[in-house]
Amino acid sequence: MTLWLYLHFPVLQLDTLYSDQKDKSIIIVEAKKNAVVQFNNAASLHGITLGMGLGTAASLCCDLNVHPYQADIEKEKLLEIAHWLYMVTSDIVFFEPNGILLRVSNMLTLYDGLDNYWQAVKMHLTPLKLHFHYASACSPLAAQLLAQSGFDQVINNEEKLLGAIQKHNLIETTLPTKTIEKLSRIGVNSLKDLLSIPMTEIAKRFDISLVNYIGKLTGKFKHPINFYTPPVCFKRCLQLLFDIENTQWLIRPLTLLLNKLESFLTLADKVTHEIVITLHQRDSDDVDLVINSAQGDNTANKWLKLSALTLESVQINAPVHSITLCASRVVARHIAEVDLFSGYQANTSPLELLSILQAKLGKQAIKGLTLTEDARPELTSQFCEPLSCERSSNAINLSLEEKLRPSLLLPVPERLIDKVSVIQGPERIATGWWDGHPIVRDYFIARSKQGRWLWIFRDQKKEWFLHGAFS
Amino acid sequence: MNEIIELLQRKNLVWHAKEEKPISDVTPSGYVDLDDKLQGGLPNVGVVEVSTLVGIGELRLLLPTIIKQAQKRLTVFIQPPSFVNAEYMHNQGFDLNNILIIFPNSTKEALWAAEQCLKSGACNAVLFWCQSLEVHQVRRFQVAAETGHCVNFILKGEQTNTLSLPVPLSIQLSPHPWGINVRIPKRRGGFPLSEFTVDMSFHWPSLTLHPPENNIVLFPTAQVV
Repeated sequence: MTLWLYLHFPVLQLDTLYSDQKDKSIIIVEAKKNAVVQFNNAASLHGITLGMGLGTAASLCCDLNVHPYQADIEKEKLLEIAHWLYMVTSDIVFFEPNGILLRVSNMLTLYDGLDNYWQAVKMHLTPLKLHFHYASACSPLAAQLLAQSGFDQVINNEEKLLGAIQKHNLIETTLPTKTIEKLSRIGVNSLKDLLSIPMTEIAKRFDISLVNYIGKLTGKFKHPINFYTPPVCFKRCLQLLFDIENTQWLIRPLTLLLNKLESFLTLADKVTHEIVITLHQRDSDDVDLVINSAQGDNTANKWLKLSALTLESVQINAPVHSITLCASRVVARHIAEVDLFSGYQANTSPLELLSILQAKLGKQAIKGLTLTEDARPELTSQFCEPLSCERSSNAINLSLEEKLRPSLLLPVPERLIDKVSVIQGPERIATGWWDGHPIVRDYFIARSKQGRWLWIFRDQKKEWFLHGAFS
Repeated sequence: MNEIIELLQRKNLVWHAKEEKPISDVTPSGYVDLDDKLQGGLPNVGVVEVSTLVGIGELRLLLPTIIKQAQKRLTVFIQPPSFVNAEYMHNQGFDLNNILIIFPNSTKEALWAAEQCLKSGACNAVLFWCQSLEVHQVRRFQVAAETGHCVNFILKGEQTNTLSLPVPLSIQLSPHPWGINVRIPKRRGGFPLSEFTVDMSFHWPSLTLHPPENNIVLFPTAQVV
């Protein structure tokens, strides 16, 4: 016998809404049927029930928050739950729109018993703060039926389970209405009646789908299902209950998403170097914020700090109604090695510092230095991506002849205006004829009247330029 | 009366000017004249105010100290007056991978970046070029520098009448034919020093005019620790 566990989430879309006001009545209405499909506790206190029309609901409660039912959101949330559950259990099946089926039998050896397994799953589900019903059974259909009716028990006893199934009426099953009508005409109203009829009799009088259904329900027939395999990247969306116009207020809901990212990364023992926060604006284009961490981080705190710095400089032109967080590059953790005896121990690593600076000032504001083998002074010294310059470049440059060079170079040589006296020179640099940027310059070291040591040159036209200072 | 003084002395509560001890947390600058006057060299931690013209040898004076302090930590240049030359830094012995140059978009961002670098502990020196600083900003830098065990050189242009900033060490530099003139208007644990010349003709023969006639190299005086 294979044991199955079904989790039924009756108010899934409601659970996804971000709200810090618990006493607000919220209902979710399916527009096509004009019926309330989900509601929270506060709404039920006002007397709102399932299947009620929007008009009736509105008349029962004056400040009602109404959201349209969106199957997409539930589907996405279901995926998220499955992904989360995958950390503790392996075989997961979707039952859209709001159910998840777990195959228990395979996991029992690992957890040493059904109770332990269920405790682990339950504990794992707690941080998601979801409302759910559950039931175990010998077949997927039976588990679904029990969970949807709020059985809320996980037991292994076949007889007890069968007894529980038999209590249900046919109307509660997923059988087509036509078949149920037909059965009720011959006096079969509950599953108990149906299951007491021998299969051969049913096969004679009814079509094959009913036989299949009974077979699947009792676990005698195989129920074809597709198991879920998790993706490697992290992507979550959070719907905001209210539109947010101030970027500073986005921090709170963003924290929720980052906490989820943290638990995802911690469980996988991975870090990510880049997260993309997409702000979905009402009636306007989405804003993508790319946040980098050179070191790679997995903690929500660090990412929150970087996000807060980036958000400071972001302008939104319309209210934000939802946020998506995506971490596509998930990599193995790299451990920075520090020598215990090498003097002062930093509490922030250079890469962390770099990420903080880049998040606030922008990537273009922070530069590293690198050397090239070009003889043109403005090309010898170049900016590069900070802290990432290849180690080998330094080795090459050891071969460079040590020349007296200024410490500060002007970005572009300027015309010399000061009166200077030439102290040393000339040093002729004539090169670059091969790539369309030739220079023929005579460099001199000069001292200005103020006492500044300057690096000046004279070009072919006998014009004088200032190129640097020996500061 | 004598008993009270003795008691206080035993408790180390009396400070004698003549028993001035060198500040321990310093790194020799490599210039004997300067090390002599500063009792050992430039500090490893804290804010150092340097008022100077650009190009008179101010970096040549400071960088040897910074290299010695570095120990694989970062050296950060914040809004330098022009580009820092990689070739020069390499020749001086810097590991180019440990150099960060920051060009902030505004003064506010520059101050923020400087503070972050100072308190991170990942940097050994932050060279910060700016025109003017306020007292509270310098205080924050000092606290941040102590947190991150970092030295912060604030390089600013020559200004005649400015408020004295709460820095442990203030240096005024002016050009001199065979090196650089140093005046120390303020230092912690010592008296202000009047102008003296740091001879650079040994380290930078090409960048000094007339070497001093009497070719005597000062021998570093022994210090009692």
